[in-house]
Amino acid sequence: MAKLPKTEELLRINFQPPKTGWQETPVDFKPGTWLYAGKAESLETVGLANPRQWSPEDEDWKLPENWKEIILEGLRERLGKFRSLQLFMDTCVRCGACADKCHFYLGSGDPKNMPVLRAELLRSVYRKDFTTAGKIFGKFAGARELTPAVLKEWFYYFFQCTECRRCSVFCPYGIDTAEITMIGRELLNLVGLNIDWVVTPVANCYKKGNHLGIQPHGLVDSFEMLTDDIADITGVQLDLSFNRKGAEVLFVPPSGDVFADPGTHSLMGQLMLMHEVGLDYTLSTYASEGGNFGLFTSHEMMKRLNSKIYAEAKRLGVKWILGGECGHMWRVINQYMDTMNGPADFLEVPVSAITGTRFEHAKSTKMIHITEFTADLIQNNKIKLDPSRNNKHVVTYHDSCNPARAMGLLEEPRYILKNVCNNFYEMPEETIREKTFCCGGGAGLGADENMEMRMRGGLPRANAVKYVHEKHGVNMLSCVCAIDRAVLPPLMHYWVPDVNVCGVHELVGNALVMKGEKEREESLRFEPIGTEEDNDV
Amino acid sequence: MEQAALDLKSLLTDNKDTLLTKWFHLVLETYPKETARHFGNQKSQFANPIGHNIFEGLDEIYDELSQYANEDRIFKALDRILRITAVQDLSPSKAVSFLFLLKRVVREGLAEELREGKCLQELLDFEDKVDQSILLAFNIYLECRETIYKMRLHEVKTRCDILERINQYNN
Ligand code: SF4
Ligand code: SF4
Repeated sequence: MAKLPKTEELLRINFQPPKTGWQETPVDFKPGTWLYAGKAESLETVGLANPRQWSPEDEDWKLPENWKEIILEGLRERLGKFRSLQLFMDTCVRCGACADKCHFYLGSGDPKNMPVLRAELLRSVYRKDFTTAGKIFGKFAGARELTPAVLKEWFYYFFQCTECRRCSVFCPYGIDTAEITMIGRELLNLVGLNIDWVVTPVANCYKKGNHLGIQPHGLVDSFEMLTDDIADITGVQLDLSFNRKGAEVLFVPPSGDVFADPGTHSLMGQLMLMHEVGLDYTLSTYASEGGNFGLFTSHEMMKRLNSKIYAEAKRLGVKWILGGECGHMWRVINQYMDTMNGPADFLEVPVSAITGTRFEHAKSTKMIHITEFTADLIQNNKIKLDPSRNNKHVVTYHDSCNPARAMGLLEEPRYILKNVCNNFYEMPEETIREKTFCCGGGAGLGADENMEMRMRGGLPRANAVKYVHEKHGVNMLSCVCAIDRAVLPPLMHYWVPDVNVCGVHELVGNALVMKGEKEREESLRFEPIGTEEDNDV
Repeated sequence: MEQAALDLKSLLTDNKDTLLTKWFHLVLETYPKETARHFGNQKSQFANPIGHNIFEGLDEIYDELSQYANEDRIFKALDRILRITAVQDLSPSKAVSFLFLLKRVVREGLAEELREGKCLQELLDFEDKVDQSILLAFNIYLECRETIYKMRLHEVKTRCDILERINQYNN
C-alpha cells in the first residue's frame, strides 16, 4: 500500500476539460475539411475569372487587385436581378428555427454551419454596404467590412453547404439558405475562387458533354460493356441507339452511372426496362450528362450546360425527354430549365407510349424522371416482376435532397420499391421525404480530400440508417441520385458497415422478368440471386 | 442510524444519474457554448445524433466500468463515441479525453464519501479499468482515422482506374 497515493492527493487533481474556440478564431484550413482549388485550365475552358494556381491553404490567394469592388458590384447586380436574394437578406428575424436543421451543424457542432449563420456571412457584408443602418452603426447593426479573412470564411463555409435546402423547410419565412450559398459561390467565382471538384466537371461537360470528359466512342464502348453484362446475366441482348434522329424519346442519365459502381447496376436496370417495354428511345453522345455542376457554379453556367439537352432534343427531333436516376439534375429541370432555356415548344408533353399516360405536370419542361415512367408502368401492369429475386435485400430508401425537396418526388420511388422487393422499411419520419438528411457530399463536396467533412455532414443520415439496420436488419440503402451512389458507400462503410448502396432501378432490373430471358442465377452485381437462406445452403 | 452504502459499486449505482449527467455535460464542453447547449438539451436521437450517441455511449461505458466490465460491450460503447470524435475538429488527445473526465467526475462527485478512505482500493481498481479503456480508446480512434484514409485512397484509386479507361478510349 505504501506506493499508493493518498486519497486527498487523488482528489486534488484538477483536470480541465479541453476547450476549443473555433468560433472565435479565423478559418483554419485543416486537411479533410476543404476542397482543392479549381484547376486553371478548367477555368480557362469555360472562361471563368482569374485562372491561376493556388491553394486554400496558401496565405495569398492571388486575388485580382480590385477583388473587393468586383464582389460588391457583383452583389449589387444580383440584388437587383434576384428579388429572392433581396428578400432573404432583409427578412431573417433570427428566430433560430433553422439553426439545428443543417446536417453539417448537427455533425460538426460548428456554429457557423447553422444556416442562419451561414447566411449571415453574406448578410453582414450586405448590411455594411447596402443598408443605411449598417453604414452608420457598423458592427452594432450586425454589419462588417469585406476583408480577405471574411472572403476566406465565405469560401470555407459556402463550400460546406450542400445546397440541400433542408433548412428552408423549417424557416417560417421560407428563407432558402441554399440560394444564398449559390449566390455566395457565384460571387466567389467572380474573383476566381472555386473548387476543382466542381469546375473540372463543368469544363468537361461544356467541352465533351459529360463530367468525365468521355468522348463519343468511349461512351458507346462503355454502354456496350453494360449491355454485355446484361446479356451474360439475362441471356437477352439489348440494342442501343445513339444520336438516332426521329426516336420518340431522348434518354439522359447522369454519366457517373455509366462508369462507376453501383451506378452502373442501376443504369443496367433502366436499359433493361426500356428494352422490355419497347420504348423508342435514343441516347446522345453530346448531351450525355444528366448532372449539371453549373448549378454549383453560377446561374449562367447552369444555363449553358443545361441548354445542351434541349439542343440535342431539337436536333434529333424527339418528342420528349426522359431523365435517369439523378438528383440535382431535377432541381435544375424542375426549377430553372423552363425559365432559362424554355419554352421547349418543339417538344410534346410526355406521353408514355406503353400506357398512354400523359405526364401533365411536365408540360412545360417536357421532361420526366425515370421513376415516374417506371411507377406508371407498374401501376398499369405493363411489366412482370419477381420481387423474390431481391429477397436477400432488406431495403430502405434515402430521399435525395433535390428530387425530394425541389421536385416533390416522394411516392414514385417508394411505389416501385414496394413492388420490386419484399422487404422494405422506412427510416424515421423526421429523416425522410421533405425532411430528408443530405448524404453530405452534394453540390460538389464529394471529393476525397473532403472526406472528414463528408463524414460529419453525413452523420445524421447514417444515424437514421443505423437505426433501421439495428431494428429491421436493413442491409441495402437505395436512392435515385448518382452523387448519392458515389458518396453513400463510404459513408456507410464508416458509420454502418453492414449496409450497401444501390439505385432503385438496380432492384427493378433484378426483379424484371424479361421476355426470352434465361433462368436468372445472378443479380446485376453478378452475385447469386435469391434469399439469404438460399445462399447459405 | 442506517449507514449509507460505502462500497464504490453501490455509490456509483446510487449516484448514477447525477454523475452521468455531470460527465455528459463536461464532455460537451469540448464544443462551443451554443452547440453544447443544443447537443445537451435535445432528446430526439435523429435531430441530435451527436448528443444522443455520446450520451448513450457514456451511459453504457458508465455501467460497464462500474458494474460488469464486459469487454465487448465496452468496445462497442467506446466505438460509438470515438467514431464521432475521430471526425470532429479535435486532436487525438482531446478525442479520447472524455474518459479522463470520468475519473474527475467520480472523484469530485463522491468527494465526501471517498474522503473517509474506505473505498480507496475500489477507487483505484475502478480507475484501472478506466485506464484500460483509455488504451482501448486509442486503438479505436486510430482505427477510425485509418478507415478515413483508406476510404480516401480507395476513391483516388477508383478514379485513377476510371481515368485510365477513359484515356484508352480517348486515344
Ligand atoms: S442548404 Fe443544407 S447544407 Fe446548406 S445550410 Fe441549409 S441545411 Fe445546411
Ligand atoms: S428560420 Fe428563417 S427567419 Fe429564422 S433564423 Fe433561420 S433563416 Fe432566419
